[in-house]
Amino acid sequence: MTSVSVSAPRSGRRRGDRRTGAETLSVILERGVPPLVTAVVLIGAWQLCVATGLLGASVVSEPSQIAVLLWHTLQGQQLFGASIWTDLGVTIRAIIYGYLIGTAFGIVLGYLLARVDFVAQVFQPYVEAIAALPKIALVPLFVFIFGIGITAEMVNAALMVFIIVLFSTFSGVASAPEQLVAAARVMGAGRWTVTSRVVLPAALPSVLVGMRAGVSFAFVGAITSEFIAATSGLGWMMQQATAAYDTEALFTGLIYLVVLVWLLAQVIGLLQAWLLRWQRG
Amino acid sequence: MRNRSSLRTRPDAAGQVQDKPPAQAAPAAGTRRRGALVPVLGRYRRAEIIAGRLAVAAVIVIFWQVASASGFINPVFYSSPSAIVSLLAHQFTGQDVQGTGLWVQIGVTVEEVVIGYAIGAAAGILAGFVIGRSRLLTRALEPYILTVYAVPKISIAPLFVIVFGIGLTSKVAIVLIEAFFILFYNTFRGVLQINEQLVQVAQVMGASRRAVLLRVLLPASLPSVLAGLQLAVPFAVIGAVVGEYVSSSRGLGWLVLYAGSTLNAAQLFGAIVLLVIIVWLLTRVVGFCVHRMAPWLPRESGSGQRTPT
Repeated sequence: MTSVSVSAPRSGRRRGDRRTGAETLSVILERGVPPLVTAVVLIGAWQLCVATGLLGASVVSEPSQIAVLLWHTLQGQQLFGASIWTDLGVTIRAIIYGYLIGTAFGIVLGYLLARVDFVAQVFQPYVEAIAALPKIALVPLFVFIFGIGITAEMVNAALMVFIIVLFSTFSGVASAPEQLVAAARVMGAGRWTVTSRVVLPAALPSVLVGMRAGVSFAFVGAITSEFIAATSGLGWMMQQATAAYDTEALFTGLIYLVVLVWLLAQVIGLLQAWLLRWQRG
Repeated sequence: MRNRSSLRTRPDAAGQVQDKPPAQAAPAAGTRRRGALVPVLGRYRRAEIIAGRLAVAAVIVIFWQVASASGFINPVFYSSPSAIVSLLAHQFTGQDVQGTGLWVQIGVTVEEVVIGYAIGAAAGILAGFVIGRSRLLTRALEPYILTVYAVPKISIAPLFVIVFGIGLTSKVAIVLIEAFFILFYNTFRGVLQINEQLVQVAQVMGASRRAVLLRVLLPASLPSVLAGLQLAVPFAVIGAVVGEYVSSSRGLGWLVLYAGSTLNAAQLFGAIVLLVIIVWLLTRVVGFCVHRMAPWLPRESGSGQRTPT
C-alpha cells in the first residue's frame, strides 16, 4: 500500500528526481553515517591512546581537553593575552583584503595577457618564473619592506591569490570558443559586446575555479606571514602555542582555521553556483 | 589550435612561421587584430619575442641597479643586482653567514625535500588507490578528504615541530604531508574517474585481480598520478621552507628568515633566487622522469598553472 502511494506521485512529477521524505532520510543516512562513524572512531581512538598512555598528552593533547578549550575561547577566554576573536578578526581582514586585491589584479592582467598576444609571449618566461617561485620565500621580504603588521600579511595573501587567478583567467579567456566570437561579430557585435556577452561568460567557469583555489592560498599567505612576524592573528597565536609547547591551543587554532577555510570555500561555492546557474542542464 | 596559448607553449614553437601572415595582419574595420582572441603563435617573429623578453629583463635589472645606486629606491630594503650576484659568488666560493659554504644550506633543504617527497608521494599514491577502489572507505572519508585538501597543510608545521623536534625529521614530515596529499588527491580522483566498463570488460575476459590492477587500473590513472608528481614538487619545497621558518638552524628557509631579521637584503634576495632555481631544477628533473615513464602523454611545459604557491 504505502509503496504504491509513495511511488505514484513521484512518477507523476515532471522532475523525476524529487524525493519523498523517506527517501531523503535514507540518502542522508547513507551519505552522512559513514563520515560520522569515521569521526567518532578517529576521535575515540585518539582519546583512548592518550588515556592509556600510548601517546603522550603533552605531545598530542586530548580531544576532550581541546573541546573544553575551544568552548572557553568561544566564550572569550584569552590565549596568549588576546581574545580569539581579535586574532580571528586580524586574520580574516588580511585574508579578505588580500583575496579581493589579488583576484582583481589577477582577472584584469589575465584577461589582458590572453587578449594581447605579443605581451603574453614576451612575458611568458617571467610569468612562469613567478609561478615557480615559492611565494612564501617572499614573506620575510614583505615583512622587511612593509613592517610587522596587517599590510605584509595582506600583500602576501594578495600575491598568492593573484598568481592562481591570473592563470585561471588566462586559460579561460584563451579558451573562449572562436566560433561564438566570430558569430557575434557577424551579427554586428562591437568589441565591448563581444567581451561582455561572449568572452567573459566563456571564461567565467575557469576564473571561478581559480577563485575557489585562491581561498586556500590566501590562507597560506596570511598564516605564513603571521608565523614569521606578527603581533596578533591566528597564525601568530599558533606560533605562540608552538613556542610554549601548548598543543591544546595549537589544535584549537587549527580547528578555527579549518572552519574558516571551509566557510570561505562555501561562500565562493555559492557564488560559483549562482554565477553559473545558466550552466546546468 | 586553441591549446596553443602562449603561456603554455615553448618559445621554439614561435619561430615556425617566419613572416606575419598578411591576411591576419590586415584586420577588418580598423581594429587591431580582431581575429586574435586566442593568441596564435607564429604571428610574431621569434627574434622579436626574444628581443622583447631580453628587453624586459634588461629594463628590470638596469632600473633596479641604477635606482638603487642613485638612491631612488632604498638599497637597504631592495639591494641591487650587482650586490646580490657578488654576495652569492662570494658565498659559493668562500663562507656564508654560518661560516660554511652556501652548498651546506642548499644541501640541507634539498635533503629535506627529496626524502619527504619520495616517502610522501609513494604513500599518497598507495592511499589514493586503496581508498579510491573501496566504496566504503570513499564514502566514509570523502568529506574529510575534500576539507583537508582545502586547508593549507603548512598550518600544521608548528605541530610537527613540537612532535618531531626542530631537526631534519620535522621538516621531512611537513614535506611528506604536502607531497602525500597532492599525490593522494590526484590518485584518488584519477581512480574514481576510471571507466568501470574497462574493468568489467577485463574481468569478463578472465583477467585476475592482479591483471586488472596492472593492466587497467594503473595505466588508466597514470596521467593524473604523473600530473600530481609534477605538481607536488614546488609544494614540497614550500613545505621545507615553512618548516625551516617555524624552527631551524640551517637551510635556505632559515637563510631567508635570518636575512630578513638581520636586514640583509642582498642575502634575502640571493636566497630567494636559489630557491627559485631549486624549484625549477627539481620540476625539470621530475618532468623528465615523467616524460620517460609515459612518453605518450602531452608534455607539460614549465610550471604554469600547476604551481600556484
